[in-house]
Amino acid sequence: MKTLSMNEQIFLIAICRLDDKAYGIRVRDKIAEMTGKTFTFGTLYNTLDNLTKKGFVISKSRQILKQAGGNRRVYYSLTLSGHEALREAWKLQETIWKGFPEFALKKRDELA
Amino acid sequence: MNSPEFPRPPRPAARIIRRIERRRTNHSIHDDLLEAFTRIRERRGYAAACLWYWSQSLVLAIYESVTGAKWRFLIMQNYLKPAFRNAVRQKRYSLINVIGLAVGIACGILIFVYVNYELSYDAYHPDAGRIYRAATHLKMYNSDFISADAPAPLSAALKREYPEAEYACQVISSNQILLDVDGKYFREDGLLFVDKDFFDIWSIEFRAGGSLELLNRPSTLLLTETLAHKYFGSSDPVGKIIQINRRPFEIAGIIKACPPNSHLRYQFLTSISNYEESSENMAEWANLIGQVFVKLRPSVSGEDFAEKTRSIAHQHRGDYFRQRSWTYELLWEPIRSLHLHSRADAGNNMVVIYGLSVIGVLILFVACFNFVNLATATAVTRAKEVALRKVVGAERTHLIQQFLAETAFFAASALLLAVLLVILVLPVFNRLVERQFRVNALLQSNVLFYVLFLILMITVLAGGYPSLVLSRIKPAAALANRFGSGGYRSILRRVFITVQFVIVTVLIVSTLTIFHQIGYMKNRNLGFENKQKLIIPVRLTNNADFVKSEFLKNPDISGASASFQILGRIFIAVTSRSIGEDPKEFVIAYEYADPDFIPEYKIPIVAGRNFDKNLGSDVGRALILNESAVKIFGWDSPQKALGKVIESHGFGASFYRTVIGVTRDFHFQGLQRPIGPLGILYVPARFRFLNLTVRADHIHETLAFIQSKWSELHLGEIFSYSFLDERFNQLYAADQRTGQIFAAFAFLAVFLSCLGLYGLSAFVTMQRTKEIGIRKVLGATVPKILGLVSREFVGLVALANILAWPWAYWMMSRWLKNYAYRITLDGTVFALTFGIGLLIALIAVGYHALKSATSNPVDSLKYYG
Repeated sequence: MKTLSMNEQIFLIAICRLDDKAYGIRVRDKIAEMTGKTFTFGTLYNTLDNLTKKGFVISKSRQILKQAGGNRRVYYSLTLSGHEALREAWKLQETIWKGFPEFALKKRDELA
Repeated sequence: MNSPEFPRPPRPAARIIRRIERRRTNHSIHDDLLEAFTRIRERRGYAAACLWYWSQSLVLAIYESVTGAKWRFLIMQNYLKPAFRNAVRQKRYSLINVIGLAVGIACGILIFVYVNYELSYDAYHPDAGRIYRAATHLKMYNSDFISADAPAPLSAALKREYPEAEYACQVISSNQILLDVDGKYFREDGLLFVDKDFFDIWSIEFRAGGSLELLNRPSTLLLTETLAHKYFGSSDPVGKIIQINRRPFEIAGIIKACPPNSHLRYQFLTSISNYEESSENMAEWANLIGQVFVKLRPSVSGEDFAEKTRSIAHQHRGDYFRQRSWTYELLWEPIRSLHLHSRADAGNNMVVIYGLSVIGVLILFVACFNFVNLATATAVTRAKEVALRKVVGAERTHLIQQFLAETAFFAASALLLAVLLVILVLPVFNRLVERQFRVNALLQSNVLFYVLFLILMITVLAGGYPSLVLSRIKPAAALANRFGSGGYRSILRRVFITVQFVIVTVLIVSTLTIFHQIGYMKNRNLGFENKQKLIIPVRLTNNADFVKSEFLKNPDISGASASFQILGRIFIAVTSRSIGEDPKEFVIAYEYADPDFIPEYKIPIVAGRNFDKNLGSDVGRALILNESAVKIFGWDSPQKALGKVIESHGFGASFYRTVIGVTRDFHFQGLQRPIGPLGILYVPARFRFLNLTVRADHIHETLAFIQSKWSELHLGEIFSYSFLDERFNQLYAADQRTGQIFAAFAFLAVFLSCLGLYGLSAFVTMQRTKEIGIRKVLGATVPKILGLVSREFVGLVALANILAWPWAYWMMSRWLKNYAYRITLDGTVFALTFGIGLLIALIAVGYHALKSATSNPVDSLKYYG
């Protein structure tokens, strides 16, 4: 199975955490909250499209209430394989970081 | 947070976003952007939010259009590929379609360029809408006509009394002037005598000098650039002296050449003070001298001004006109109307313009009908494609789009061919309409717009119906091969063929009638001999007899006479009154001629005698009338006219002349006008033309002899000659041109209909191959089958003829009313047209009919399917 890219992981985690409130701009907000990076709408939609195509995300369109604007709003949620992929990614993270000493990340001058 | 509080994002931007969202994605872009908008609004204000929102929508729109174009291109490819393949597979139909459309478009372009040019006449004047020309409507005795000339003192009076006229100028034009540039002689047209307001009405561009010098110094002249270059090359002409009609003029300046689309042509301008006419004559309201133009003030309406000045001549000279019961009324014509529909100028070209425009449209229709006919007839070949497209989900609008795109493709390729055609035939067309169009005339913006419009129109006109028919095909039937023949007998197709042939018939009838009338005029007995007459303009004083005898020394010159005007163009007319009981006054045309004139031209004298060379009393006093003159003066017979005295007025003086003879009527003004009253006088001092009768053989030697005699006798500076019969034919040149134009377009219409019929018959016979095979097996003969195939087309041609005849008859009888002497429209022209139409149809249909009729039935029945 193909590994997820970091961006994809972030997206999936954001959608997952938003639960049933995961729609476009909220996903973007969540990511900003999590990572401090703000994506453009173009990147947002493209990544969502990619994830949908890979079968990790499914979108559902709902009509929202009149006082909320009365628009069509698309909600995203993780599919089973999405969950699976996320778990795999987490495991992989775990594995590759295991036993790696923190001091190895220290800057050279800090060491000295 | 996501409560949508007002104000909302800008509406147009929101619309763009909503549209793209609907069409392109399955995300809720609109909703997301709305929320983002609300946030920005709360944080940074409405304006910033709007700016952001707009930028988002624009980025999206650009993205959308880029990806959209890619898709549209792919779809177009999908539409055009089968169109192209089909075109290649059915070479004959495609060729017919493209050639037909190309010829139609080429005609359309040429006619548009011409009509556009003709309508642009005099539009170059600043404020052309405020410039008018005076015309005088004269009623005196037997004559009632509108002259383009105005009473001599008119412009001065307008300047004095009518402040509505911002500028008023008198323009006297002089043609055929003799120019002497350093001893070299030229004949030129277009010398205008103008006053100072001319420069305010016409926008003359100066290359050197100015109007002030011209107006302030006597005997000065302005010259166009073209002529300055012709006479002086690159040297500076200003200040040089040239002689015009043996009078020296100093060149005061150089002006830009007269625009070609100007009704008033000029090459030289000089002040009106140089015009040699007595001041009494220039002050006389009864004299019409030169044209008068006014430029009205912006607030003045042309009608009001015309109404106010209508009887201005009578206000100044009422008693004089009342005495004679003449009326002189002014008419004002807008300068832009002068070229095409002036009431005063000869030749109402507007008819030609209308006619041409209609013909252009009709030819386009013929070409479009061909396209529709062929496209619907061959629909069967596309049935499977359409059916398959429908099966895989094409909607009807898609199919209509596809076939319209196909037609546009055909029209565009036809356009390329048409442009080539136009470039090729432009020289011929120029000769036909006597204009000088260049290829870059096609690049004007209005021509380009017109071409674009043409393509669009053709696409809709020619592609509309076939696309409806083709998109209607039922897929199940078509795929099961149960699609019919497309109905080669469809009503619409018959209607189209009939209409095509109605157009063809009208054009052929018109062409035949025009040429018939021209032939009639050329061959009609004019009442005098006009063959082998050589006309030479000369300066004769009282030495005509001596000059004639010198020329007669050559044995190939059998006769000579002298005259003031040329036969066929006798237009000098003077009012004349009969003296005695029951006096009457009329306007009569006059010719001055010597005693040899009447016998040389073999004009029969019905009473009295010719002038006598030996009778001094004949000079200036004896008068020979024609029968029409005798008739209007009310004398019962030519004999009774002899000895009567006629008083005529000319330029202030009265003359009394005795009638000594009467000639039979002859056409002294050509055949367009009825024969009017004419008087011939013997006044040697006024002779300006030598009429020689020459033998047809040795014509070159004779001409050489005449020329050498000419210089030997010092008869003038420039030798020129013409043959009288050719001059007469030139009178009909305009009609001849109209005829040729009609002939050319009739030919094109015939060609196009032939093309259509040829293609259609090919298709129809192909459809009926099996039927014909079976008929042959059962014993049908070749002629029978020929009849079977061509019967339908022949019937349609006959119907078209019957429909077209009344229309053609009405049109042509109106046109013939322009001629005093005209042919009667009889059956022969119509019968001939029917014959031609039939022949055309048979030739077009015959090839395929014959091919299928003579083919072996075994071949056509061999295949089952």
